[in-house]
Amino acid sequence: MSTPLIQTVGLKKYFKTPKGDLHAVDDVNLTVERGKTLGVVGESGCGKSTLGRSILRLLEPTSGQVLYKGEDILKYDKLKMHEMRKNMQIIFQDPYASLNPRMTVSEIIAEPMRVCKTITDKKELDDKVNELMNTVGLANRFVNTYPHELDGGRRQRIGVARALALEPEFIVCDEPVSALDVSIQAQILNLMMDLQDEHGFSYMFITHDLSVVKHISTEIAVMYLGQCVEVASTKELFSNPLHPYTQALLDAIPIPSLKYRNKKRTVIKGEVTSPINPKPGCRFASRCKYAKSECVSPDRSLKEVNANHFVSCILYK
Amino acid sequence: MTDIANSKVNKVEIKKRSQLKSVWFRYKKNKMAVAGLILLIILFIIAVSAPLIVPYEKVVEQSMKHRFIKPSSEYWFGTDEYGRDMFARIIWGARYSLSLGVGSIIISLIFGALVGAVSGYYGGRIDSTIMRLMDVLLAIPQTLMAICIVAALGQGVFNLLVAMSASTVPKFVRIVRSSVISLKGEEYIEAARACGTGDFRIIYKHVLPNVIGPIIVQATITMALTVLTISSLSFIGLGVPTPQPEWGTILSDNKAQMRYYPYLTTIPGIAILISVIAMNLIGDGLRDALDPKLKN
Repeated sequence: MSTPLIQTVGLKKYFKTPKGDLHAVDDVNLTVERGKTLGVVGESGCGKSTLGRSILRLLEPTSGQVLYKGEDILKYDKLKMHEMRKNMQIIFQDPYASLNPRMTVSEIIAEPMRVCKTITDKKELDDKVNELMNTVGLANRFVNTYPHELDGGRRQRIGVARALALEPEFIVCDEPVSALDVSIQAQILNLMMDLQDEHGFSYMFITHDLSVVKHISTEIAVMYLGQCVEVASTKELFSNPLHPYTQALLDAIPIPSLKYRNKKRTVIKGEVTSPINPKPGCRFASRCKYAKSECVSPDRSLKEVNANHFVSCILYK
Repeated sequence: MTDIANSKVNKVEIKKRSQLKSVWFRYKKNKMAVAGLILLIILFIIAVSAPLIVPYEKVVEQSMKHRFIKPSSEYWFGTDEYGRDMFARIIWGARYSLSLGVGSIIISLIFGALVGAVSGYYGGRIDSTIMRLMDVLLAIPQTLMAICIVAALGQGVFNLLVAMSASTVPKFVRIVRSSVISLKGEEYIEAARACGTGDFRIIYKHVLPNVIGPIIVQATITMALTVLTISSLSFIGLGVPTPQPEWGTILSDNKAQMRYYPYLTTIPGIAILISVIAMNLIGDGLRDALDPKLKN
């Protein structure tokens, strides 16, 4: 088996709070293959975004490894990391906040190339900006406009163009469509999938929208309170969810049909337990209807139950 | 297909406008700001070409015969109690007043923006150290502070400049710092870091342009205050050394005669007023021109 593009090994990110350590990302082991999309789903506050940012070292992980083609990038020094950043980019959730309001569209797109000095010639830079704008479907007449003059979809296209500017291999997409309305969501998603076909990017697609993740991902990781509870291919996960949390999550997808209007839903009881100094054992145990006394035993690593279907639950051994 | 698309793109290609040009484009829409700019340019021309307008001797030449002459065709702005030509004093005074006012603002602006940005951006121990230092400076009233510095360094125009800058810096540092703190969590700063932008470039390219509004407002207000503080320093003999003319000095020198010869205080007052108004108009115009969101 060839080395995967990105691999996290026991990645942890704890935030220090006055009450104790907040376990935002706790012992996550994931793999992103070349040209594939890993969807990361989970409810708000389960550490999806922190995971994405830790992989890019926008947040310094507490411990663990991030392997890029087998090399641990957390050990890189400043200079090597600067080089490294060309290979990994991020698309942000809110296209209203992720673009500098004082810069024009062309400046925003050109900025990464100026910083990394991949293109120094002025004319060449302008051409590259035009080309990128074409690629993401932004009309050339917007070069001098400022982000606030454009709508959400166009702004997000700028965000995509900026991420593409350095021709990265791996892009973290941090809920790139959740701030957009549905028709624009589809446009941006299709644009991203087309770009993937064309350039062979690998995506890590962070979202809480299950229909989006089903559409775009080849593999899905389900997160709950900083931990990865289930990893499987999209088809497998949607047809055969194993972890009780995943089952509840998928059960919550509304079905747009009159036939199901009286359908009973299993609603998860209780609140998300605090991520500050969590108890050992399964973190979902307090809300799980299958919970047993063994659930508090500390063993909670992912186990391969079916081929390429990993789950961390004592129900499956 | 792509060829057609490309040729179309080339046809409607729009020239990229440089940042400076677009700022100027927005600035000149504001008629008052342009008026302020013209006013300030005129004042600067007067200050620079003072020797061509009246010789310096006229400024210090005293004549008991010509005391308290009201403004006339020979003495445009009249004469003071020593018989010195007020016109010459006002013209030459522009040199001191403008260079002190503008100079001290520019120094404290640059220094304050840099220190404030560093303090706010890095936070932690650097921030605490800088801010405690600034608190020390802020604890002393501006005039007292300036008196201390001038007293320590000695009287003189340059020392006065240092004193005025040092006493206004803390305000700038605080304003810039608080704006930077509110900005540094923004996603576009994170986006800049994601492509490996260095801290220095982030500060001057992404942070400072976004905090320019409050800085400019503060600068124009401080500018007016500085001219007035200099005049009060001159009043107690620590400002611009006599007989060098400075508008504030002239104003306070002639305070005693205000009742009988009002022109002696009115004319330097108007000169100060004009420069302060010009500054404020420019400041307002610049703030709006630098903010693309206010473009109409």
